[in-house]
Amino acid sequence: MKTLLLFFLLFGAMQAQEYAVIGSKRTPELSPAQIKAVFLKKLTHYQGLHLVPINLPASSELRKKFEKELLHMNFIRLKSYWSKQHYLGNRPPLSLKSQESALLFVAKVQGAITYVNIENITKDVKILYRWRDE
Amino acid sequence: MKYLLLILIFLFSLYAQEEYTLGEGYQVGELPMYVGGYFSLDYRKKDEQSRYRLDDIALLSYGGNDTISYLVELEFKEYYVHYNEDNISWSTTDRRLYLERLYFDYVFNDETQIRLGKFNSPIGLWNLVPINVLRETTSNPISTEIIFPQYTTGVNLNYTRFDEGEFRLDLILQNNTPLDDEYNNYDIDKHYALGLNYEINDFTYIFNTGYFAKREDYIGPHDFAYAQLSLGYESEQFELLSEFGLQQSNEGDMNLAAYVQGVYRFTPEHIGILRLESYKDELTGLNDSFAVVGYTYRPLYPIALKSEYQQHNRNSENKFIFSFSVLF
Repeated sequence: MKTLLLFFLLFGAMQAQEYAVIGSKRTPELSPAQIKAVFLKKLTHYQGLHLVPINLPASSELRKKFEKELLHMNFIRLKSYWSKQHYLGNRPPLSLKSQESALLFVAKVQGAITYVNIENITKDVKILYRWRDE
Repeated sequence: MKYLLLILIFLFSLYAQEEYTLGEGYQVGELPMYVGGYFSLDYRKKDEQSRYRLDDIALLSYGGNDTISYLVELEFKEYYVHYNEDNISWSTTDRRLYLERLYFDYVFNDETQIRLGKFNSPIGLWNLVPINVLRETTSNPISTEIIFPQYTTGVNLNYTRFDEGEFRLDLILQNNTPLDDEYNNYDIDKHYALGLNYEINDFTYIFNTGYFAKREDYIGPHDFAYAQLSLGYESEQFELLSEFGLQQSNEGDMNLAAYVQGVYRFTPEHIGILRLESYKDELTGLNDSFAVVGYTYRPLYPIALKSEYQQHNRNSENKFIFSFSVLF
């Protein structure tokens, strides 16, 4: 019975997906609170660099996981936030269609930040934060 | 000049990109320039009087790059109002176009930016987003009207720092005649103010204090000092807001206003609101305590259908309000 339980625990751990928030090579270290501020466009300049958050499409499961993990905001709260920001003259982050295009953008543009599955990461980018499915 | 701006904003909207999300404005072609707007219709029943109003019709445009940006907003206010009382009806119209906001922002460095022009005074929890569709009740708390000037024409120096939370300091300076002076709750030519704001997790703490002076030709109290404390909490389902403000004039008159508001989201579309308010206005000799009970339906976030009932100690002020508002 114990062996079976151990097997299921190990199997579950192997199945748990891992994700990362990544930035271009020159992106400074950022705390989770600062990453949240970047994606809410509250923190736009840091250590002399213009920060450019990149989202995946609204339908992306990874985007929903990211918003839950780091923004702690659901869809309607974010919608409310960005409607208010529109009135104040601010735009939501740019959205790109796939992790591949987001990864390429981050590798090429200094200050760009996005989130991807950990297995997609290349050596051209820097990991700022990582988390896994619970 | 204002009509020229209005035409320009309208023309920009004709070059909008195809992809559009309601409540987030249009991008003008490939330019870093956006166009949006909002409107509000409301109905109020108070005593024997009914009022139907097409209130705000506004267009705004903003844009820029990572260092310099601008925002301009033009608005028709109380464009058409129809009253009905004791079987007598009458209407009023106001076809003037008001310049609600016009400012430029410049980012100095990571933490400091400056705003020049006419802007919403960055005071308290309501004044930065004062339009109907973006709040949960059609009415504003009285504290947003009798404590501080809602608009400032001058400079806003802003310092922001992030650690585990967000700390923001605002310095407001006005020492000139305002842009579009008819459109403010106080007709001022001086406003000096300080704001301290700290946000951490779901909590917001704000302290504002300042001084403002009405224009020289104003008869009555001329100089005013004010202070306001604001506390906010917001989670997925629940929101709690509370503010306490006081104002004193050079002739010793004092205004006090306070409220506590709870918002509960039954679902993202269905929202219940309860607000308890109290105020004393020594300048007009009015004081009152009242409760506001409201229900808001948002089929989509930028569309709001709201109803509220206000029960006042001054019974003549009891009223029912219904509104329909859209942000686009």
